[in-house]
Amino acid sequence: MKKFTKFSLIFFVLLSFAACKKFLNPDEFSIVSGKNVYTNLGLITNALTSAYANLPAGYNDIGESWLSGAADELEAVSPTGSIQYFNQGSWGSYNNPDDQFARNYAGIRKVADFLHGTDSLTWQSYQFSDPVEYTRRTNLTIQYRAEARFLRAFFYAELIKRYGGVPLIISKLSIDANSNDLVNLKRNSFEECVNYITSECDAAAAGLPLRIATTDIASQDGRATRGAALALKSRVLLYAASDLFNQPGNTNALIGYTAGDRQARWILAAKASRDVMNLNVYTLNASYRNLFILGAGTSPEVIFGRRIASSNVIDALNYPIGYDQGKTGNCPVGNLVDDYEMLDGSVFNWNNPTQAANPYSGRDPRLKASILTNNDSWNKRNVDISTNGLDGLPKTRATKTGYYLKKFITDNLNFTNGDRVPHQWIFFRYAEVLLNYAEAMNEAYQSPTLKNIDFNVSAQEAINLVRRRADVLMPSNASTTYSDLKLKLEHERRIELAFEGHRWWDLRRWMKGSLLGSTITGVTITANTNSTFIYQPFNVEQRVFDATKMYLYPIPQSEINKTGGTIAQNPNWN
Amino acid sequence: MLKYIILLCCLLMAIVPVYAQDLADKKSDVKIVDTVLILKNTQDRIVPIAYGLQKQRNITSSISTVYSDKLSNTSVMMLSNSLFGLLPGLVVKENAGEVGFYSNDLYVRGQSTFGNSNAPLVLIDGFERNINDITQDDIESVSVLKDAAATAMYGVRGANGVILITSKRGKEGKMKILAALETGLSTPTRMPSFVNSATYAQMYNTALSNDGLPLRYTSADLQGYQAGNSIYYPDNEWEKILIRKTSPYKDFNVSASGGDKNTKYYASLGYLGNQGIFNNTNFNDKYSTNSQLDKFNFRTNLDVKAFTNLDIRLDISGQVNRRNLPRNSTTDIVNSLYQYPQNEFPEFINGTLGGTSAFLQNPEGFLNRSGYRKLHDDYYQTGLSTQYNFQNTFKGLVAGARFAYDNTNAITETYSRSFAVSEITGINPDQTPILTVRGADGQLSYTNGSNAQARHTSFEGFFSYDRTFANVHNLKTLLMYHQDRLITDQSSPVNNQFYSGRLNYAYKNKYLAEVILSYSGSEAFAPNKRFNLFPATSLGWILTEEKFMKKFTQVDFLKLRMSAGIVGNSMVGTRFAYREQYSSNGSYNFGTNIQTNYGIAEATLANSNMGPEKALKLDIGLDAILFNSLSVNAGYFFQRRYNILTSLGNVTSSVFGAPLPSVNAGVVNNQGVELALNYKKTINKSFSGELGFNLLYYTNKIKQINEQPLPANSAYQYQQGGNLGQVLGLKAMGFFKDQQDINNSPIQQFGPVKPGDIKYADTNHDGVINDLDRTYLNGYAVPNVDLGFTAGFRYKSFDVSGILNAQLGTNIYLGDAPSLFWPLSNSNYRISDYVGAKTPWTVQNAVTANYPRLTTLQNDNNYRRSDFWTVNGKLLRIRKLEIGYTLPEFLSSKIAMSSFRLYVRGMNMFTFNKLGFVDPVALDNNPLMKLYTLGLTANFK
Repeated sequence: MKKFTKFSLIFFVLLSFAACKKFLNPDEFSIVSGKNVYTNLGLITNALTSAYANLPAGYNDIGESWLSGAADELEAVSPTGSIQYFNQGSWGSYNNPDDQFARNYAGIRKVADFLHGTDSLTWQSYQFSDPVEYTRRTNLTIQYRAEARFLRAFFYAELIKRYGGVPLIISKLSIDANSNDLVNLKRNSFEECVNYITSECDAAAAGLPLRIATTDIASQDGRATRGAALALKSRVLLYAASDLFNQPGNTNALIGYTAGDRQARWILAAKASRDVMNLNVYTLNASYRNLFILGAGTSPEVIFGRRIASSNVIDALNYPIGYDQGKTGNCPVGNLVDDYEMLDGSVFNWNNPTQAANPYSGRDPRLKASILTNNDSWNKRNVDISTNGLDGLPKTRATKTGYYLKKFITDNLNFTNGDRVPHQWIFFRYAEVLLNYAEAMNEAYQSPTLKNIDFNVSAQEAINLVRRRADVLMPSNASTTYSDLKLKLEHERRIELAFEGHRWWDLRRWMKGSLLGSTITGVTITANTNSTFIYQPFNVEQRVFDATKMYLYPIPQSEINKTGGTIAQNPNWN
Repeated sequence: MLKYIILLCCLLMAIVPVYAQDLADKKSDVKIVDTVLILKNTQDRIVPIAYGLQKQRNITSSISTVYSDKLSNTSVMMLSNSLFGLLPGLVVKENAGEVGFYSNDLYVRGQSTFGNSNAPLVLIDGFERNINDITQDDIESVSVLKDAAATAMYGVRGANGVILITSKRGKEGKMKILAALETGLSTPTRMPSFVNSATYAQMYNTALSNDGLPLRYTSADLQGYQAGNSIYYPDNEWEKILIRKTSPYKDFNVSASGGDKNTKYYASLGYLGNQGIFNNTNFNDKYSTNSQLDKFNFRTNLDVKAFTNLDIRLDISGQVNRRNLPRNSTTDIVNSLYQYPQNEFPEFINGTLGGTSAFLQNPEGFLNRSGYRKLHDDYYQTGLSTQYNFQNTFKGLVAGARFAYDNTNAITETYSRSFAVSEITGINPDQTPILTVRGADGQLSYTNGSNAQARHTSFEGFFSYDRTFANVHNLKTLLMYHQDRLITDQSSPVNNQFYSGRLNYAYKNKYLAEVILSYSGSEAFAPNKRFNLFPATSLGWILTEEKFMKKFTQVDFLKLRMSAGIVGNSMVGTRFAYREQYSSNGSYNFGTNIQTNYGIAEATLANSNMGPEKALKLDIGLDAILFNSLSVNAGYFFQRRYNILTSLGNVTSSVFGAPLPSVNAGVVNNQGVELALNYKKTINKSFSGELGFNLLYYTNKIKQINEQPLPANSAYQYQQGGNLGQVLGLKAMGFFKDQQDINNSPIQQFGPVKPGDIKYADTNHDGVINDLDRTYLNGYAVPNVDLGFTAGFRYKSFDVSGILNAQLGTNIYLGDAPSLFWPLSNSNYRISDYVGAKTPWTVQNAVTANYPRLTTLQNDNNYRRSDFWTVNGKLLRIRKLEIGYTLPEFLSSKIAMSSFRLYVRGMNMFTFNKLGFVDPVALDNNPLMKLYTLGLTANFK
């Protein structure tokens, strides 16, 4: 009997477990499916946030630097950072420090998925039970969908300024074996891309609020508004009307226009900028310096920007080497410093002995707002960039150019105590729109002063708004010819928008290869015994630029390989 | 210290034998226990197989086993370190690591898949457990199951091979107590060294002048450095300052075993302690920042006959590990020693740490003034099995159930503090330095802790039926059910389940046959692919049982065997990849309160047909014993691994935008040979010896993989057709002689080149040098030739033994350790003696140069993978050398011992390879250690 009990016990246990077929059915709740996401407002918000995350990071986008470090604005102190590939001309289809192809298409996919998921969303269950909530949800969905379309337009704009025309992917592609989505993938023409982006900007603008409601500023500021969509359109049309994409005799529709009325393009660009101005939402920030150290604050000048949580990474990285935890990071180049005008609007000249002896006084106030020059006060002392000085060579990682970055950087931080501040990276601000407008007007009508029924502000008036900012107050522009204003506008963009990532693209669209391949200069500073200094300009680095191909980026080689070459490469890249 | 130990040993050995001999002369009936087995008997040995035991002679699958006699004679902290060269077919790939964390990678017959995992399944006493979760001294045997027939019982988990570890159990008889004590010193096998500051400054100037930049060090500076380490001209040899020459090691073990007919027991207790490599760690008052391992372990294995037919086994074991570590990871610390500038600041200035604003992490502070960590990780394993023998009612039938419950938990405490450094920012008129303090000395504070737990529950039930009919038909069958569940705090529980059966038949002990079927499942796969059937079969023929073999008297035993079957691999990476999944993706801040909003987006798209990897395996082998002293095991194997996951992302444009899934489309073939020779001979009463040799040679080939299409003239870059672990690299053709040479050569697209830079071959003849000119540098990721050589001799009371292991087929890439081989590149501020001993290119020595020009700039032309930076990785290590002395029994019995043995042992004493500068498995990581120990083992009566 005992035996039988044992036998049956074992047998029973065996059987019971053998019957347990559900043992391998995994926990069904730990995985979020598309259906879970697109029926839940919270998760829908998260899905849109994920697309926002694909916007450019701004600061430190490329290692410890950003595209300003490859233009004649900044020189990264680290000789080994990947930004230096640009400066050495050693970049290409296999190796591009700013290869944003996949990143932007990932963003485009997120938008496509978002639009697909929210397409038939009706919130019907609230319609009668809670009409207020129903309206809120319905309106929010409309706004979110407009934001998503704006973001997609932004991503495409990021792509076309780099690569020219790219494949326009509008729907959510399928990997299904039966789908033809990826068969014979081709680049759309530049013109098609521009048209698509601008029409999307219009569509997005229609669904976007003019401004974030005052009650939502604390939690929602930074979401796309109508102004953001129109400012994007303004920039895209300005770029599209520029030399690079309107090369005479061009037959390659992928890299620019092949025909058509260029003046009409400038007028379109001017109109787009005027539309932003006519919103009457934006004005210039009274203080130029404070605009870039807004911290958590807001400014009437900012149209769209990325907020960065409290941190001292950017500050410590760019503090002069002689300060606790300062790492120099990015050094403003002499070429730029020299370009800041004298207060009277004249040009600075090293050959003028008075100016050379005291090179940083009597200059455009935006110089001191953006760049730390020798003997400036910083963090409770004066910087000493002279040779063997506290902040000077030959210290490891001391500035290579004799200047330190000040724009964006907050003074008087004690990193040892862990001081940190919030930052913003501004994508669009009103001054840029004004300069876009001035340039488009000057190009469209070849006149500094023309106004007409469509445009009640002249190019010159627009640039002077920028020059006469409350704490800048540089002499008004008085150009009388189109070509003079063209030069002045190029100069104004360089100064006003310094280090904000514009120069790299401006030089390209203006096709100023000689400046992309310029000789970077700096200043050697020798301290005299009587606390005066001798300044001597010198050459820091010869940048390399190949004008036969580098105006546009190469399409990543892997994309060409994967598509068997149906995606074509840009001219002269291999 | 070491010297004294050796001296002491020598003395002991000199004196004791003399004394012993004296005694022996007086007492003529000296008995020396002959422990060498007669080889033929080894065929009757019962060896562990999948879920059972089998007589060695009847095994028809491919299994190799090593027993405690070999294993316990090595001094290692973790079991995987004692397996080098002992098991034919098992490749142990060594990893360096911090104290107590040297966990090696095991490969059964090398790599067979480019998929997620090549790791074999490891079972300790029948249950899946971590290989290092058992103490060396408690192990009876380690077996490696290699072919499909050996592992088919494990079904979807058998493809990568299986390692079976069996612990010691009590035997009927009087209690035996075994005590083992060992103490020793560990020291790095090799430590890299660096040029002094004087040489550094000179070389740095050379590099600057190569770059066309102004020199940094004036001749006064150079003279200053020449004069040696001083405050203004520091020369901090970090690796000498902060790494110890030797660290103590201790290991104690006591076990007791015995029992009677109804109850048998084995119980053990052990302790192992080893200190880490760091120096000057006693700066702090109350705590150490050195790494230190203290391991305590215990085990009780009980066999109880509860009733006549009911056997119960209860095994309980556990291990308590206490580790002390510096606050920063030891890898980071070692890296900082090799990277941090040695002349930028003095280690100490007037008693405070030196540093600069750019170099705040003075390595001394980084190691010793940053706090410490304490790790407590414990595990407890419980196994209970019962089996009922129906010998009276149904002869041959046995039913049983097995249950295991394992629990691990790991708690980390972290204490950190900050430290200040002083920078010299000027010099007073009296030549004393003006100091500026950077950072601040912080208080030691508890920063964070973590607690990780895991519990693993397994249940198995089985029926077996073993019976011999008519004295010639021998039948062994097994039918079983298995399930196990691993619960961790990391993810949802991981479950496995299978039903397996085996039928084993022998006719007249001569013809052997076996069929195995497993229906096994893993939740990793789509519901329609969740369960798979894995069949295998094997055949054997013992020729020495045949009459016609009787005349070959030299052949004591000869068996031919072959097997074929299909087994699977369920370790394919992501779980639930067959389902659509959204996961967190990016974040963005909104609002003036800068709220971080988290994003969610499509994760890797679903592969709704996701199934396991499968392996078709064939195996042919021969086992023989010749001259009653030489055993031979030889075999050939072939494996076709298919359904390997390979990503669609490699063949789909990123225009698609979403992460793409992998599909079961990859194929790899792996084939090779194995040979094991063992020779044992007892010459006479006082001299006996044994020699062992084993060899594994295999090649693998990727037959199918999703890979990016390539231009026609670069088709040699396809992975398909090549072996696993091959890497692309350029072919170096010396250095550019001058600008003329550069102008006349194809353009190298990696960056600007100057004379003295590496010149590459234009493999595809397209006139430019870029990544398309890379070809495969022959080499495997895992050695494809593995040789083991063991020897043991005994002369009278002395014994000598050793283990040697050689591994061939891999490459060492110097670029893996830029701090040692690519000086002045990305945050590497030191120059190693390796480079110091080379002749870097300069205009003057352009002809004799054997190293590219030094540079302070980003040089992507030189510093990239090419054959210039590739060194053949073939490696030979003397894993163990040991000399022992056993006290004659008549002496040991006087002190109540049945045996008493003293020994000196060296682990990893000698390493031979092409790269002599640094140990190839360590490079810029924690150094690999060698170990010298002095030990004794005593068996008490």
